Amino acid sequence: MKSFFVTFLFSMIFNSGIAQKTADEVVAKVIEAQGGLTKLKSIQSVKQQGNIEFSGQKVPYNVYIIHDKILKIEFTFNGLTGYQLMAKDSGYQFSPFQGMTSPERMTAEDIMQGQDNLDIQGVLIDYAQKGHSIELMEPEDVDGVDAIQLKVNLKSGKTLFYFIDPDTFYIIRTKVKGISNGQEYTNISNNYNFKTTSNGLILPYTVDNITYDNIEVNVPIDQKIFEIKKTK
Amino acid sequence: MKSILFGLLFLTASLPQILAQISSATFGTMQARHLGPAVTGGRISAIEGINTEPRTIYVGTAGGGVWKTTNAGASFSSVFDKYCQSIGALAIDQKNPKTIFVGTGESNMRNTVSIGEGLYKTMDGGENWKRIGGLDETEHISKIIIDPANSNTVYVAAPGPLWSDSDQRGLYKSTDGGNTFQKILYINNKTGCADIALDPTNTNIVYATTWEFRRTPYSFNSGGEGSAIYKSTDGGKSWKELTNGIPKKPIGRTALTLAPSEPNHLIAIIEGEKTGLYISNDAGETWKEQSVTFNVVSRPFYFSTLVVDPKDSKRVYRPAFSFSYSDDGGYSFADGSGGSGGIFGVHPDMHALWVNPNYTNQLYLGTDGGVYMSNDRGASWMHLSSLPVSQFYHVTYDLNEPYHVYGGLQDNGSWYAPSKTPFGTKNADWKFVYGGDGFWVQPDPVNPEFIYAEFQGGEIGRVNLKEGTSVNIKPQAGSGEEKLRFNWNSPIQIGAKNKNNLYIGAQYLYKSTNKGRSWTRISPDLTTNDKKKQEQEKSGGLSADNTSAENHCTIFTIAESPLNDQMIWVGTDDGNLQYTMDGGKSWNNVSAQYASAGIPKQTWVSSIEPSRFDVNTVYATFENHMYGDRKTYLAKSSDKGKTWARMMSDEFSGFAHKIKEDLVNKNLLFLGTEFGLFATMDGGAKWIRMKNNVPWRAMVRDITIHPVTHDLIIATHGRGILIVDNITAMRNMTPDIANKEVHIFESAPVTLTMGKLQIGGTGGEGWSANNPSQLAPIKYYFKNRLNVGEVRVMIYDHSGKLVQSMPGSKRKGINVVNWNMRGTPPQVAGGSSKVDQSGFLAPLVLPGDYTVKIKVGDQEYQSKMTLVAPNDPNFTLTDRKQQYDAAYQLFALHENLAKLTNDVTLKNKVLQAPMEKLKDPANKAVVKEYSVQLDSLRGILIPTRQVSIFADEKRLREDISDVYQALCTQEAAPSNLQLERMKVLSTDLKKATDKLVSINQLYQDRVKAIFLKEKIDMDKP
Repeated sequence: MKSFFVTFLFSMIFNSGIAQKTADEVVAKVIEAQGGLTKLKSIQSVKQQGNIEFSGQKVPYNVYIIHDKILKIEFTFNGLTGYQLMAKDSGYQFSPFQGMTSPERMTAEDIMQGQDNLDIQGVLIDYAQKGHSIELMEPEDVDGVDAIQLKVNLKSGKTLFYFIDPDTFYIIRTKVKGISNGQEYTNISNNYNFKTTSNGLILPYTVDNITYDNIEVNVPIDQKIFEIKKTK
Repeated sequence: MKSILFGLLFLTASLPQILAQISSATFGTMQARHLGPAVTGGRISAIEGINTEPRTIYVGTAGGGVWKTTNAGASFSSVFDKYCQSIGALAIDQKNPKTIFVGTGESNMRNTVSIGEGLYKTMDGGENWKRIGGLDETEHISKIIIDPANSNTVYVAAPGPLWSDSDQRGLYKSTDGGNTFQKILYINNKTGCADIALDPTNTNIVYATTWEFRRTPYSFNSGGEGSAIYKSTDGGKSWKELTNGIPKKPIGRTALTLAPSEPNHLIAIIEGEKTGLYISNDAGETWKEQSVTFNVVSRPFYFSTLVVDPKDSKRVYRPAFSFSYSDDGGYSFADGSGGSGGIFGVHPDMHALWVNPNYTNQLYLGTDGGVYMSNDRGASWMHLSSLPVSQFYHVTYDLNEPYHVYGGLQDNGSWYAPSKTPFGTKNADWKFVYGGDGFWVQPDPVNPEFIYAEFQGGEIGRVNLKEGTSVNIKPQAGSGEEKLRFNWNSPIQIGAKNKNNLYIGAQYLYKSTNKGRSWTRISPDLTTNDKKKQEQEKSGGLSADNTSAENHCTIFTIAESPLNDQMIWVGTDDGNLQYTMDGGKSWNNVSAQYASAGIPKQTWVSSIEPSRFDVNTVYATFENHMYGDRKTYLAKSSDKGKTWARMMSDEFSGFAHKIKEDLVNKNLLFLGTEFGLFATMDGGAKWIRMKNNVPWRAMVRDITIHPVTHDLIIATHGRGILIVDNITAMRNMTPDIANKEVHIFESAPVTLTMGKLQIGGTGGEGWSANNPSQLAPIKYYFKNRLNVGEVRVMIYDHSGKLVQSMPGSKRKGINVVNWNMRGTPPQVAGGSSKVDQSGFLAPLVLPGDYTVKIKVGDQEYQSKMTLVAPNDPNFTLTDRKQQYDAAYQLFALHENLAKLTNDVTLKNKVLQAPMEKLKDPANKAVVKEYSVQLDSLRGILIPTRQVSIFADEKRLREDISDVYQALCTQEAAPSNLQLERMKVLSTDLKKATDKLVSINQLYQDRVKAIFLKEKIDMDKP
């Protein structure tokens, strides 16, 4: 009887269905740690204002996103403003710092790879309906934290690895793997300085060397911000 | 009594808790730099590519783990850093190429071969790996084949342990995608499976070769009754031994392959009394021996690769000592050209080959010197010089600035390189200094022109680096002396106390005080001199093979005490540990004493570390893997070897190669084993595994610490030289600090420099290491990662003025924020069509004391930092002050110009909209004139017309920047013309300022009156 019970337990623990449920449990905890499903699903727009800091200099860095429609990231230095702008089917970038005089169209591959960024509610929300899949991987050390590792296979073909603090369930590191120009690339970003927004969402206000002074959710965003300006 | 007991209990309970705060993560920011070299690689044991995406190739190495390229070899990244670094086999599921199996433990069974830890599987292209149970103790895996018709079927050939009997060997099969395995072919506990081949047209047909083999520390045997060739036609359920035409037993290792496009055509190289190549054209039923070349049948235990072109059954490749190919299905072979690629042409000793099935002209070849690529079926080769998997035995350093590291490589000679160079140490910075297999290289501390290097069997040379010449200085046997026995890896040492002493060990210890021109034997035979262990000429088994690798009863390690040059410790490969207190006149053997501590008597004494703090204290490592014992043996004696205590830890893995005591903190020790680098900060009570960009299970063969830079220098047998820069933070870490929430470390004085590595870079091809930071490190400790709250690091000068404020990192353990020793850059005039880099650049600060404040949430922590100016007659303190003052004058010009430009721009901006509303054309003309004047002035201050970075448009801002940037980046006093130019620029700015005043005087009131008259509101500037 005892051996049957042990065997039963063993098979339960290593049953893949259980493992999947555990991944879903992690997703549920992460969503809860970000403020809860209702709040996340209500996000329609985000405005983030902050700075990139290096060499003692602060470069204003602003992000504007309308959920599932369009996003713009702009950065200003020395009176010049560059940006990346991406919608569902188009994308532009403008970097006047290197002599660019007009916005340039992004490649179809980059636009496709960037589409997941339009989902500001988060790819974990209704991930299966969105065509993504998740897997719970072995824990990984992140800055000394034995972080839970959640792999998200995105519909776009990219793979996200979320590293989650086991105590707070904050996503403390994101690793993105994708293909660009035929080459595999890896982008890693680290999240700190978690704060509660006025809407009750809990978000990182520091991502690597970018610190946001203000994050506003569901505030109106002037559509003019997203207009492509052809300069001389 | 009660209180003492209570106190003890308290200590017992609290100490582990405090110590537990120190972990691998504590030092995570102290990232090791990987110096390479990759100009010559290490041994490559497996290569597999993705058939549908042949730019993605995985490379398995003898001691450097698994590497992946997605650009056909232009660059590689390591994907197996947490696991065993010895790789035996790779297999890609071509139907789902993100699924890859790695068999650890290479099967090139030479004396120095490492040991594997089983089978691993990834399902995401190498991001995450899972160890597959059931093969953990196989130690060596030679081949993995995934059934091309059914990915759930996987075969793993495991020759099994080299050094002991074991039933963990044979052919294993999985039918569930590699999650579980069953052994399907097993002969006996001395015989494993060496090779397998599957008929791709009927994958139930499996061929397997079995191999009986064994090594001891002093012999090798390849061959026996267990070796044979088998065939199964039911997927391994039953087996038939193939004998028709196969040579009589005993045979040795057999390499077997079939032509994928003609699977009944089999080729086998069978090791025997006369090793030969055999061909079967009837699916193995009958075989016929063919004539062969020397290369095809050379060293069959070591060269086991035989590949048929996937499309052309006539084209056969035999990479072995050199590269042979056949164009008639293996009936005849020709030797390919070795005359191109790499530094000496294609490196001999070849162990892996992948033929791109989509373009079969393209080959990837794995050798003892790395990976080569050919686009013409092997006629010419290109070395892929970005794979830093070199296999060092030892490492040493010199006292130059920057210092050099020296070391010998398995099958790749001896090398040295600077620890840092302009733009990082690159392949071209590594210099070859001695041939053969390289081991110890000792730079002469008295005369840096000379180094002492060797190749196998004690072939020591004195090399003149300046002249590029060498003299063989190997000691020779004297009259009446036994033949000298030198280890494969003979120890060469410079005295730790007396730098004039040069030592080398055979079975006797030799000392020279004149650079090896003459030697004095200063010991009797210090080994056991067991004659049964000295029959190397019989070694090899069926094929004679003794290359000094099996030499035994030799001295393996020598260590002069750093406190007393008459005290010399010697360890041998047969278990003797002896020391002398009188420079060699008399010797004390303490092997029985260490054995009393539970260390087997016959072990190799792999390293000895006499303490630099106490003459009675000595540490030693012992390794016994050649007797099938992989335990980590490390011991300490505090009474000159009379008694020993083993130092043990659950953290340890792998047999021990090196113990190193820190130069400053006697409680800080480092241990290198076959499976990792370990450190203790409390004299050995608690050990941690170093994971700071050190592969977790790196083969750490040697460790040293640089006395000036405090760098930890690590020789790995598969990942080249690793340097952990400046380990002062480890020295200073105590349990008390570890238990604090936040701690700022006191900083040693920092040299004020703009960096000395700005010119003279060499070619950038291949691997390039990072340089150590030349900035001022601010180090602080967090007990936990900071998820909530900000961290700011602020620097104040002696007057309390804020110099710079930076965001601080927030990881658990030691954090490092590097201050560039400059202030905050100036506000530079903006609104131009071009960026001015001066906005990123501030003047270098002056030498002196600075206060470092770290704000963590609401708490503030404070420390001091002293910046010291180097004693440079070309840049004196007076020069520095002049440079500093001049730079800040220009800084002020920039900020004033920014303000002026801003004024001009805003004044003009507010005119534009109201101007359009003016009705009176005369009025409009006046305002327009004002606007044009302002615009014209703006065009003097900053570039406004520029449309490209390639079209220069210099204005006042650029003129100021020219001098400002020069001054900020020069370590010299301002020149006369720079100072003169500053005056001109100052005058120009004044003129521009005056110009604005005059324009405003001319127009401002008139314009105001005009707008007032036409009742148009004018925005306030």
